[in-house]
Amino acid sequence: MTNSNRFIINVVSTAIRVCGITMLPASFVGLYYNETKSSLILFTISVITITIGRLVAKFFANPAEPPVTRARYAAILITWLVLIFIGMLPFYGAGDNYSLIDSIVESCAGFCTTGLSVIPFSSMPLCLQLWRCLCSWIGGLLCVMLTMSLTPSLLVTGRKLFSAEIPSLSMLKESATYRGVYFKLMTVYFSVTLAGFVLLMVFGMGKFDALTTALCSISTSGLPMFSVDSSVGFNWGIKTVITILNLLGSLNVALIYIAALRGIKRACKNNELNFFLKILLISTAVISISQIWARINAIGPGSLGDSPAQKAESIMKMIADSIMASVSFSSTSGFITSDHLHWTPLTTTVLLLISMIGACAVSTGGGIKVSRLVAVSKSIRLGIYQHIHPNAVKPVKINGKPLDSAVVIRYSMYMVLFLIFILFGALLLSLDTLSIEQCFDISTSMMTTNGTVMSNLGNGTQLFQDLMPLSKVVIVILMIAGRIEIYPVLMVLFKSFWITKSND
Amino acid sequence: MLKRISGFFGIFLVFLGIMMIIPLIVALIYGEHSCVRAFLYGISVALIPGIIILLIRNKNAISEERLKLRYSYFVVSLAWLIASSISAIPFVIQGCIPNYIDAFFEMCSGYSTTGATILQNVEVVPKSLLFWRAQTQWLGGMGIIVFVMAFLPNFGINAQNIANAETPGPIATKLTSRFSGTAKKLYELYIFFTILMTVLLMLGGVSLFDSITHTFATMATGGFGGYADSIAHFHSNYVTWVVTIFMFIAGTNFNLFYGIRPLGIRKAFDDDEFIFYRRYVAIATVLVTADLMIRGGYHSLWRALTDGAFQVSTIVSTTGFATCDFDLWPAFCKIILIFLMFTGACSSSTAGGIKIVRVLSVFRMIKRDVKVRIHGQIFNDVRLNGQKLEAKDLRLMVTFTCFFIIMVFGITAVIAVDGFDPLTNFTASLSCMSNVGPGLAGVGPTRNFSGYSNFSTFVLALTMIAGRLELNTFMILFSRHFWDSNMA
Repeated sequence: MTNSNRFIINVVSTAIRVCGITMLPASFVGLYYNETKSSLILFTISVITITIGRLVAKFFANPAEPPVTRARYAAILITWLVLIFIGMLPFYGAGDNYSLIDSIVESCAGFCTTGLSVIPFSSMPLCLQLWRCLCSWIGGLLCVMLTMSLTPSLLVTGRKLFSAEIPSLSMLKESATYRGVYFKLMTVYFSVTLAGFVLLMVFGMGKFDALTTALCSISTSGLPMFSVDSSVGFNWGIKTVITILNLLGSLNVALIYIAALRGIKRACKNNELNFFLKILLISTAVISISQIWARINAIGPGSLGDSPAQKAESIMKMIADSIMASVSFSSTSGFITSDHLHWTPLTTTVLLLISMIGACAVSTGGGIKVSRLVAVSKSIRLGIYQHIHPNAVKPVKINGKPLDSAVVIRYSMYMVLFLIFILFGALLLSLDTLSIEQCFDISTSMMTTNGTVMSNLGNGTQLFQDLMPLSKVVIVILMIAGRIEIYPVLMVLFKSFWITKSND
Repeated sequence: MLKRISGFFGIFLVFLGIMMIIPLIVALIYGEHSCVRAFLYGISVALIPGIIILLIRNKNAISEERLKLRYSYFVVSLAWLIASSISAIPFVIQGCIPNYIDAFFEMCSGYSTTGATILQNVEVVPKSLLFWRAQTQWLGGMGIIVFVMAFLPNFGINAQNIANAETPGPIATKLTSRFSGTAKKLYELYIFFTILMTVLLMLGGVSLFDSITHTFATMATGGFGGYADSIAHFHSNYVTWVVTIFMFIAGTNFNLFYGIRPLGIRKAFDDDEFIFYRRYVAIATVLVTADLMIRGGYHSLWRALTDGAFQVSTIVSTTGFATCDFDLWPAFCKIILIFLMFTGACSSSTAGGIKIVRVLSVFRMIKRDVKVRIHGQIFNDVRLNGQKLEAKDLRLMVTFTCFFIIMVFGITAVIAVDGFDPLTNFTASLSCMSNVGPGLAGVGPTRNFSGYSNFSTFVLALTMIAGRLELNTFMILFSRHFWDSNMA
């Protein structure tokens, strides 16, 4: 067995073990709610998965030498595919005769933290509902882990782990080994989820709803279990908790560490975080002004209230709604907590754009990622500068350190690739009976792992249910591409990816 | 600096005034008295300041050292804005476009060869003004200033710099040792094709006036027509195919035609960019034709092919004519047209967009990057026509592509204040940035831009100029570094 295969099998076996273990709580919850059949099926799949995972890990020890780059990409892709396969089994086996492709889409949407759903949540047994949310939770966690550990040029030993491609991570040199980093990461992730769960219950949410909401919020996968009407109807406490959880999920993990260990001030010096907060601020301001302006224009100044106090209150409410919408879309969660029927075209456009920009690097959010946009925008400014001073030698700097030209090129290429995937995705979706707006909306929301279709707000499930099987395959590919950052999916198309050399 | 560029602007204004004499003659021929007055105003606004500047300028200044590169960009951007502002005057005075911002938009659309219009009924516009609209496109097609440089004396401005600032594509190729020679050669070819196409259209039974105006719009890849239903007005397959072929030619790198005599046709067109361009057009045509037959409600293959080829050619060359309302086509066809709007045609042609050469280079870069990621390290470079592209060129190309994309989305957000749907805004922004003309939905081929507010119209007008001058040339005006040369 080659080094690479050994490595891939090892990574995949670890992932499926984690997946199997996470399935256990769902099956216990099923028992608690008297869903014996479904929970038994879940339990069986879980036991089989864990056993296979353990056996495989026992027979194929991790190779001592670091694997070749190709193997790391292959590991990411295969892990994701295997997870989606395992995640699909409960829906297919324990559900109410869901079709195979629907089960795959549901599982894929879970692991890719996309908020879409092709199976109406209310029709699912509770244990499957919980499993769907756990898929998102584990998908968010694994995504961070895999990008941290397997993305090439982030080489395998401790300090070099966070280098090259994701600049802000070079600030973090806390742990020398993977195990340490993982442990810390999981502790943070778990405790934030737990805190969210408790707070949601404090603000009046039911036990089960609080659990699923906390799981989905921290993993920035939206609120697929609630209809838009019910999520709009939440009280302010619940909305605030959801927003904060999403915001935390969309921040760079390294920055959260740094903020926790060395204070928020230090973390705020980071270019990426700075830029991300600016985006949130500007989008909130634009959306607030646009919404307030539209309301005054449509109904008149009296619509904001009679007394100054009432006016101030309704303006504050609209600003709060705008903050939530901005966080929801820039973290690529796509939950809706305000009256979307009155969103202006400007609001919709801004939300769509910030969801394309997406969250910070190494977070559970998707999109192009803020760190890339920072580098690209600096490179554009440098281009203009060099037009003015043609002989100037000036690098692109991130966090005060010069960024290698090759890295800038890669970031820019990623941005172009992202757009190409959206366009091709829309092109393939247009073979279905969709309008051009729907094609672009679906394609964009899949690539950004946002899951909310702007032209069908509030009725997404029906839209996805009605898609042709081919379109469902397309959205699965787009979701995976958006989640694991395109390259592993793109590589499959290259002949050299499949040719194994003797020294691999 | 001011002294040095004043001479140039003097000449430029005089040139603009002289150019306006041509539509004045057309107005006299057709007896359009209101237009005669309008053009006389326009000519005097251009000529009088131009002559005054030429008389009072310091003649010694021009012989001194040449203008710095950055001022060349400034000169070009300013000249395009001045040309559009002055050319708009006849429309306002004649009264067919009473709002000055709208007239400015129309002229920006003309010079940038976009072809987007705010005119709701183009058929009531006097012929001389239609001619002027078409003529601005022809002037803008190859670059107004390159035109001035080709035929007028040197005014202390480095011609190569101007060409770099004004020519579409990453690098302006030199055909002769002096740039004015190159410009002359390019214009000779441009004029040759213009005459050829006019004659061919007339052979198809099109009137002289329509032939000239439509040739101007085609060769410049502008897209201003004289009729509400654009080329469909002529009801002639012959005319449609002539226009299709000439649009394709106008989207080709003009320098390639100069290789024909020494190298022969086969070798002259053995160019990476051109090969990609023709395959790209062919594939798009086949896909659009197939979808039109399957889902577009077409029953005749010939009809579908004619419309498909025409629409692909008109969008890829960023002309923007129409033989049918492609906004009613299936989504698949429309998305292909959006692809074409982004890429545009070849560099050093009259087309807009990102340009095939950049698209091709970025594709090759992506391919190389994926291979590097597979193998860890490889040693083959990104090449174009066998030549290695340097890291700096690669960075500039991919950065430009990103800049283009960001600007398209940025402008979409800015014009969303008017309350139109996102698809209308997005295609309006993309269409203006790529200098295509029509978009989809609210700005589709049978609609126009008149619904937008003054603010959005102005933004879109500037977008067209920025897109035509390939962003960087225009965007330096918004950089602090340009205005404060001591800033690091």
